[in-house]
Amino acid sequence: MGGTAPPGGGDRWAMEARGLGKRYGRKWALRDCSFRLPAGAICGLVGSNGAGKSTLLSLAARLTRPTTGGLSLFGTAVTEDEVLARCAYLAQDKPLFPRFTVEETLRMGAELNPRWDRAVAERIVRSGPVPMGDRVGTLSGGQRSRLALALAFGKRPELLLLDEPMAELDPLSQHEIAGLLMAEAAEQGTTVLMSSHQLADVATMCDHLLAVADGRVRLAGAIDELLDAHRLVTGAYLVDGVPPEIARHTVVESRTTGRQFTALIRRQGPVEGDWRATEPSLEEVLLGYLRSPGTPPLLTADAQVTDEHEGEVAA
Amino acid sequence: MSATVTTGTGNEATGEGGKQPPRVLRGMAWLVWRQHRVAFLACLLLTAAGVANMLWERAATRDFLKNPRPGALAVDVAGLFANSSYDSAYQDGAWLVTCLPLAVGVFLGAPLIAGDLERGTLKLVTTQSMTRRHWLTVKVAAAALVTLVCSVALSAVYTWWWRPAHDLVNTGRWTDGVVFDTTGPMPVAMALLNLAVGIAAGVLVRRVLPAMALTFAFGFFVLGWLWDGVRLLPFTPRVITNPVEQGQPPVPEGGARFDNWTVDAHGGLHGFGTCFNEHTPADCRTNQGIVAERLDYFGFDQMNTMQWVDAGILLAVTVLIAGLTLGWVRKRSL
Amino acid sequence: MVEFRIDRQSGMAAYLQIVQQVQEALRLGILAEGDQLPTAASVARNTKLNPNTTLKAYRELEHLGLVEPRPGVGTFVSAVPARTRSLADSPLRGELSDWMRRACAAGLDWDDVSALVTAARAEHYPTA
Repeated sequence: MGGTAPPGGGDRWAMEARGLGKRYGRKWALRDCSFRLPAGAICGLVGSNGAGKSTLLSLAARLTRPTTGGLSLFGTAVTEDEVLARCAYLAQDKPLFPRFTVEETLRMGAELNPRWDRAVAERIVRSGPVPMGDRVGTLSGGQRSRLALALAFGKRPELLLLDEPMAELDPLSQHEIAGLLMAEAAEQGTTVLMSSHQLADVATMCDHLLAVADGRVRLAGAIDELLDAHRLVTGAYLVDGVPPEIARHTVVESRTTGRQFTALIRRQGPVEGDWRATEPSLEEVLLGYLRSPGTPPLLTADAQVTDEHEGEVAA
Repeated sequence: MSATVTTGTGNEATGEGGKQPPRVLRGMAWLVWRQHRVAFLACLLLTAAGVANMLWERAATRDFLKNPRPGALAVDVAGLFANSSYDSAYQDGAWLVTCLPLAVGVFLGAPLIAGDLERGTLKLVTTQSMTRRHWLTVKVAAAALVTLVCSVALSAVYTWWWRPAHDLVNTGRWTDGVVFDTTGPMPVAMALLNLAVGIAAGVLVRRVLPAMALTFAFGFFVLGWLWDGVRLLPFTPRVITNPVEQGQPPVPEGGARFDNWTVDAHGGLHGFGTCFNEHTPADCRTNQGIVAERLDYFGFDQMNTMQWVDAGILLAVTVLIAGLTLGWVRKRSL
Repeated sequence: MVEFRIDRQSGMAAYLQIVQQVQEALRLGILAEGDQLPTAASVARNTKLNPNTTLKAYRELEHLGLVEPRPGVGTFVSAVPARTRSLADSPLRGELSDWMRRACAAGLDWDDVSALVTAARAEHYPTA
């Protein structure tokens, strides 16, 4: 958990992308992405469909290779075979062998993973409860998800990559699976990167955010810091255009309704003048950035790729 | 308190050993066996049944071949054989050996990777702690091993059964596919090629059923039909030339006729039927200058080499297809 | 032991909701000195709340001197706040009461007063 965060060095960053790009045919699914994800974070990966979320997860899970740049997990390039054991991946449709029994599925986990933790996997399955002898093909969506998560956590990964883990689940299963995910991540100290369309879920489950649009990073960093960097300002609309006190800041988006002027701004110092400034919600910030492709991306200090590592090598 | 502790450890004990069957296969080998055991077992059992059947038929044929009719002429033996039920038994055996490569390609090769692509389980397996390379190696090696065992067994037994009757089966024409492709190393090479084609088709179309159809089409049209025209191309037949008066030279014992010609004084070749239907064939031949009749044939002693060369060609194609496919699977995006 | 309820529509940061709910439980006597707070993992299981958020709330409570972590065991209530009464007796309360009376006399209704209080509070407690 928080207290057991690994010390500095390569292990401090669960994921680090430098100039990462992926092209399918002529289309760039991901382009020039550079960011960091600190170890121990539970990070929401958000963005529109086709923005590059699944591509990023696929790159980290070694299902596909980057066209440009590099991606490293805990300081090790994804091209190295050893990252396989440190990271678990759950595809959106949670593929499993339908004719295997639950027990055989867990045996597969044991056979293919040297660090397999049988106790953890069986605890997750049994608390479902998912009967050990049942065929996977006969399980409900929630039970399948539970089994897939058991397989992922049984691997004892340091990084867990989830592609829309809660999509297509009924509300009860969604709640159960989300709770399971959070509790196991807390107990094992797993770093989690999960893509999701449910902003409410992201807001409660995640402490970090990675927003992508059009294959590029728009927001990255701790959610608290990202929200604190922004203000939603409201006031009377007296002059044409953006009022000068507001224009000093980076205006993400603004609109006027009658005599009311509302803007989402990235603060450069305190907001002066006769403005009502409140901290925006995650949804407001996120939608603002996704709607305004012209606004420069924001990466908090934690999420920025610096050259400290290379500096160390040189020194 | 102590009771819960005891049951806890008790459960673990029964879970660890006890009821679970012993682990014979481990790691990826276990997964590949578990995933494809129905197909693997079906292939092995059908082969076993085929082998048993052929051994039984061989015992029956042996008595006939040893003692067809004491003192009978070779021509009579051939007639007896053709009219007996043994001929059709050989045909059934050959059919079985011909079907094996098709079955291997369609039921073992096509679903091997297409199944994982279709269900998405490739993403599951290749994101465990083992590399995609390792997964591919074990999977393809297992399928190749089963193919090898089945085809070697069937071919060995059929060849053993066929050899003593080689001049009788298919009236001794061993250059036909029904003999040439069902004996010696040929069924093994054919089966491996079909396996590779099946795997490649599966990777290409990513769906099991279309891949099976494609593989079947390949086995049927390319190996069953196109191959008929290619089989003998690399080889030079032996030649016997007779003066025209002696008629066509007879095919030497065990040999297989390849072609017949008529030859003029300059060595020019004419169709063997030239002047055949004329009223006065002798005049016609004189007019055309034909002086000799020629036979092109393959001697039985050539058969072994020819089969190994052809098998080598098929295996080279197999390795090429398999190499391209596996190299692509290793690198492609999933 | 207490169970937390996270209201995702309230707009209040989740860790503050936990802080508030612990304080309330202490005031109501649901939690007493020496009681253990639920672990981050169990809060996560029941409310799907990020464990780091729970830990942040517990650190805040530790800061307030209400709980103390015992490494390897959990987080325990160390003191019950005695501020509730002193807050009621403080001069601030009287001043606010005076202000409310004047607002009432000036004809402001409930919503006006709420808007003013919220605005004034936001001015002085920007991050809350």
